[in-house]
Amino acid sequence: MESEHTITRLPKKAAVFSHQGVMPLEEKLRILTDAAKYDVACTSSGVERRGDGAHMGSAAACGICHTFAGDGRCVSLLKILLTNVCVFDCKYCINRASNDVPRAAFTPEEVVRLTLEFYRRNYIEGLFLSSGVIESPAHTMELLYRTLFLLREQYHFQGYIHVKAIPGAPPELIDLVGHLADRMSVNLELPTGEGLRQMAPHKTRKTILRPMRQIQQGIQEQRLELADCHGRYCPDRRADVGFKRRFVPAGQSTQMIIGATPESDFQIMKVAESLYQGYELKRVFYSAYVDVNHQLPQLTDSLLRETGGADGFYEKRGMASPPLLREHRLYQADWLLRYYGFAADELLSEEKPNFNVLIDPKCEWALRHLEQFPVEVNRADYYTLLRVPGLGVRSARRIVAARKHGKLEFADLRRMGVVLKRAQYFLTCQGKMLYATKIEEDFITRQLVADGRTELPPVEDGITFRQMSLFDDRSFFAEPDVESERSAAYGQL
Amino acid sequence: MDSCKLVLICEDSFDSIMTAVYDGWRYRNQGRVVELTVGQPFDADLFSEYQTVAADLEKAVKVAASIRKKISERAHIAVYQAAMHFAPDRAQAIFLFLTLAYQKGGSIMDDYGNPHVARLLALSRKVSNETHLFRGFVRFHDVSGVLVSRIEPKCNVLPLLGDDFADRFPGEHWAIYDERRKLAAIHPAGGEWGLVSQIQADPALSEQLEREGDYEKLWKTFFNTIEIESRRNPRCQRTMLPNWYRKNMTEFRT
Repeated sequence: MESEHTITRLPKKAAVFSHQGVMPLEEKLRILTDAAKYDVACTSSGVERRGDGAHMGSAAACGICHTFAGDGRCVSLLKILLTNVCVFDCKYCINRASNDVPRAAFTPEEVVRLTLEFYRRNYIEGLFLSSGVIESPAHTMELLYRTLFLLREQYHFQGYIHVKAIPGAPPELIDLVGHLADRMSVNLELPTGEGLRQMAPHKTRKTILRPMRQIQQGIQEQRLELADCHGRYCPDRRADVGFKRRFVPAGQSTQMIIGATPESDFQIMKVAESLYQGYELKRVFYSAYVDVNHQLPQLTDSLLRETGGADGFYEKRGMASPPLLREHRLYQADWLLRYYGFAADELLSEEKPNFNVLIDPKCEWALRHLEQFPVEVNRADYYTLLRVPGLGVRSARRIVAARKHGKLEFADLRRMGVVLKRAQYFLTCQGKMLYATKIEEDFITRQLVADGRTELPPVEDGITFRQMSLFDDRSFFAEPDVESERSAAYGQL
Repeated sequence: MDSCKLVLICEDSFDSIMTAVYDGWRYRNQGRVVELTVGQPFDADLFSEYQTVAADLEKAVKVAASIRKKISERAHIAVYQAAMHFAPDRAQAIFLFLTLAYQKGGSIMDDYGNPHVARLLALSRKVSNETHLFRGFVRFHDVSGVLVSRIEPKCNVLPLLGDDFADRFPGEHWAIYDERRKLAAIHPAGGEWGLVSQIQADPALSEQLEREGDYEKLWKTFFNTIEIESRRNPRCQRTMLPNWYRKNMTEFRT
C-alpha cells in the first residue's frame, strides 16, 4: 500500500473494538449513518433486473425513491459506513483521524441483517455501502467484499447495491466486488489535484484515478465479451464467458466537493466533461461543501496564499454555509453536458469562468447566442429544440412526434405540457411569437429574472446560505427546476 | 326520445367502463349523442336519457382486444391506467379518445396536441406517476410473519402495483390494503397474487400496524439521522413527498 507510510496512528481503534458486542445496534446505526450522510449519491438507477422468482429483490432502471429526508434529498438506499474509523486525515471529512467523534464499526453480518430487514419492509431499494479506511485499504475492501458476498451468495439478495471502491485497494478485490455490486464509485473528492493535496494529504490523484480506470476497463472488456459479431449486447453469451453476474452493470459514478477549494465553475465543468468522456462515468455528483470541521477560515487563508490569492473569492461567495445555489447551477450544467449535447466550452470560458446566479446555464447560453433564435417549432430539428431554454428532452420529443400530425400552435404546445414561461422568448409557431416580444438581450434577461423572482418561494427558517449577493439575496433561493425535480423524484439525483 | 343525449352510467371498474364503451359505440353508430359517466351524476338534466350499464365480461374483453389490435398496446395500457383515475370524466375521456383512435390507428398516440389524446394521456400519466411513487412509499409491517401494508392512494394503484411486489417478494406472504376502496392485493408465499374487493379490515389491524418493533425503531433512527441539518429544506421535502402520502409511512409516525 503506497499510502501506508503516511499512517501515523490508528485512532480510537481500541475503543471501537472494546465496544464490539456492547454498543447496541441502534447506536451503531446512528453513528454510521451520521458519518455517511455527506455522501451525495443515493440513486438506485441504471439497472433493470426482474426478481428470480424465489429470492427477495429486484431493481428498476429508473430508480425508486422510498422517502425524502428533511433536507429534501431522496432516500433510496440504506446509506451507511461499515466503519467510521479512518486512518486518513482529510480536512473536509467528519471522520478524519484527528477528529474526536464517536467511532463504531458494523460487522458484515449486521449490515446484511439491516439491509434484508429494511428491504423486506420496503423501506429501501438496496444498500449503499462505504467505509472509512480501517487498518489499510486492502483490509477495508475485504470487509466490504465479505458483506456483499454474504448478501448475494448466501441470502441471494437481488436488490440494488452501490459500493465504494477504496483508493489503494488491490485490483483483484475491486474486480471481485465489481461482480457483486450494481454500481461502484470512487470519490474524486476535489476537482483538481492541487486541491486534493491541500485537503487530503493521504490521497493522491493517482490512487483515485487508478481504480476508476480499472472499473472502466472491466466494463469495457465485458461489453466486448458479451457482444455478438455485430457488436450488439447479447446477454446469452454470459454462460459462455463463464460468470454469473455482470461487472458493475449500473456503471460507475464519482463525487467532488464544491466550494472548499477555489476552483472556478469552468474548471469544474471541464473536469466533469473529461470524466464523462475519458472514464465513461454514469454520473458526477457535486457536493456543496459543508464545513463540518470548522476549517474554512484557516483553509481560505492557506489556500489563497498558496494559490496566489483569488481576489476575495470566499468573501464574494459569503461562505457561511454550503454554496447550495452554486451546486444547483453545476447540476443544471451537468445535465446540459449529458443530455443536451452541450460542451463545457460553450457554457463557460476562461474569461467568463462562473455561472450566473440569477439565470440558469441554458438561458445564459441562449442569451449570448440570440442570433440563433427564435426557433420555429414546426421546422427546427430535435437538437435545435433541445437548446431552447425551457424545453427539455420530453418536450422536444413530443414536439417532434406531434408535428407529424399537423402544424403546431402555442395552444397545442400548452396542451402537450410544454412550459412556455422561458421558451416563449425563443420560439415561433408558424412564424409568430406568443406575444410581441423583442429578441433583445436586455429585455429578455429582465423578463427572465423578473419571472424567476415572482415565483421564488419565501425563505424557510434556517436557510441562510448566500452566494454572490448582487441584489436582495432573499430571492436567490435555489428552487429545483423541472428537470431536477423529475430526476429527484425518480432517484437520479 | 331518439334525438336526445344518452348518458351511460357505469361502475368504477375497468370492465364496466369497457362495457359502456362497447354499448356507447353501438348507440353512436345509430346516430345517438352518447356520454359516459362513472357513478350516479349529481346533476341529472331533464333532456337526457340515462341508462345504467352492468359490467359484461364478454363485451369488455372484446373492446380490450380491439384496442390492442386496431390501435396499439401502448394505447391499451394508457386506457387501462386512465380508468384507474378518480376523475368523474374518465369514462367519457376514454370514450372520446377511442372513437378518435379507432379511425386514426396507433399513430394517434403521438398527436399530443389533440385535446382528446392530451386528456387521456394526462389521466394515464397521473396514475402511472402515483403508482411509481407507491412502489417506494408502501410500508410493510411484519404481523406474525405476514407483511401487511395499508395505503390510501388517490388513484386506484393497487391493480398496477401487484406485479412489481410479487416480483420483488416472491417468497413472502404479503398483503396491501387500500383503505379508500376496501380493496386488497394478497400474495401467498410462492404463489400468485390476486385482488380481493369489499374487504372489511379487522379493527385490530390499525393497532398492529402502529405497534413499533425493533426494525421500525431502527428505520426511524436512520431516517432522522440521514438528514443534513445545514441543508434543511422542508419545502423541498413537501414537494417531493406531499403530506397526504405520509399518513401510513413508518418514519412519519410520531
